[in-house]
Amino acid sequence: MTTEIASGNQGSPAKAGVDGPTSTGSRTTLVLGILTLLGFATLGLMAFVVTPPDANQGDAVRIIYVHVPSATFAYMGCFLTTLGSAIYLWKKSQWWELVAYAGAEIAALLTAVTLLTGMLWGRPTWGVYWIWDARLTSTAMLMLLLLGYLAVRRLPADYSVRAKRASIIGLLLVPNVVIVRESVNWWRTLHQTATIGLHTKMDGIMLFTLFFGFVVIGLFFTWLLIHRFRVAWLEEQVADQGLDAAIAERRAEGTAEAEPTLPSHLSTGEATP
Amino acid sequence: MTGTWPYVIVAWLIVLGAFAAYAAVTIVRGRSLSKQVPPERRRWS
Repeated sequence: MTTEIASGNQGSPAKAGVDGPTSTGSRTTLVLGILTLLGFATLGLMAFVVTPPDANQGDAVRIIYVHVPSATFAYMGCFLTTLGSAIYLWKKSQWWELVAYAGAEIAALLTAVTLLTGMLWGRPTWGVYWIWDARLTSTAMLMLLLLGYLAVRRLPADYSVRAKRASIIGLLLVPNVVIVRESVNWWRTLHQTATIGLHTKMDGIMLFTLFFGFVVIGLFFTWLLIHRFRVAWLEEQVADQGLDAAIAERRAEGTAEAEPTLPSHLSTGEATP
Repeated sequence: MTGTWPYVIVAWLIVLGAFAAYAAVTIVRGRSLSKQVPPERRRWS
């Protein structure tokens, strides 16, 4: 993302006319997008046709192939937000602040998906959609924190004020992710311990499908992050243009007020007799 | 385990539907904003 934004991308497939691409797309995102679509098609085939039902969970294991990668990349989004927020507060880098913002929105999407798929997995496996278990509760708190970050980031205020307030909230995300991640070890919970670990006991093809899910959702995450970053960049550019136009208009008004009032025949450039 | 399938199908529909909807909204918003910003300020152009 960095290289492409900095160096430009000639010959982009999104090029439209002499004004350049009129979208957030580029050659990189096109390739990533195609790979993501192919990946999801293959993942669906593997999850529904190739892999067998689990001995304990039955067909509900097919939800795990998207639930666990979604949760993992939600954590990744949170990590980017905390990192970007810290760098913004330290260096006042707008680039990193926009990475943080893009990461938070994608993390909110993935956390919502994680919660919903987890509930749909829990109903046939545990017999309930929801229980105030440490993992579920801490994940719900993470979702609220992400929504809080996004709400503060969108409050009507000057960019630096919005960015600073949101960045302070952004710093809390990674500590919260640590609580979510470790909740199954720190407290006795209904939720099982980490699905992937040194002592993972999964059938070869099922484990492969789960790892393939990580690859596909990782591709989607990267594709979306680039697009969302560019949208955030454009939003700030449009806001800057509006501000520049308002300042220019105010200056023009000030200049007009400062000019002495001339007789109408002089001000309109009419020839004197 | 036949009773599990509706949960599996709904879960996958939520995942794919949410991802597709969010991606579409992002792309459309990007197109709309790109038209308002000159190419020199779109640094990936």
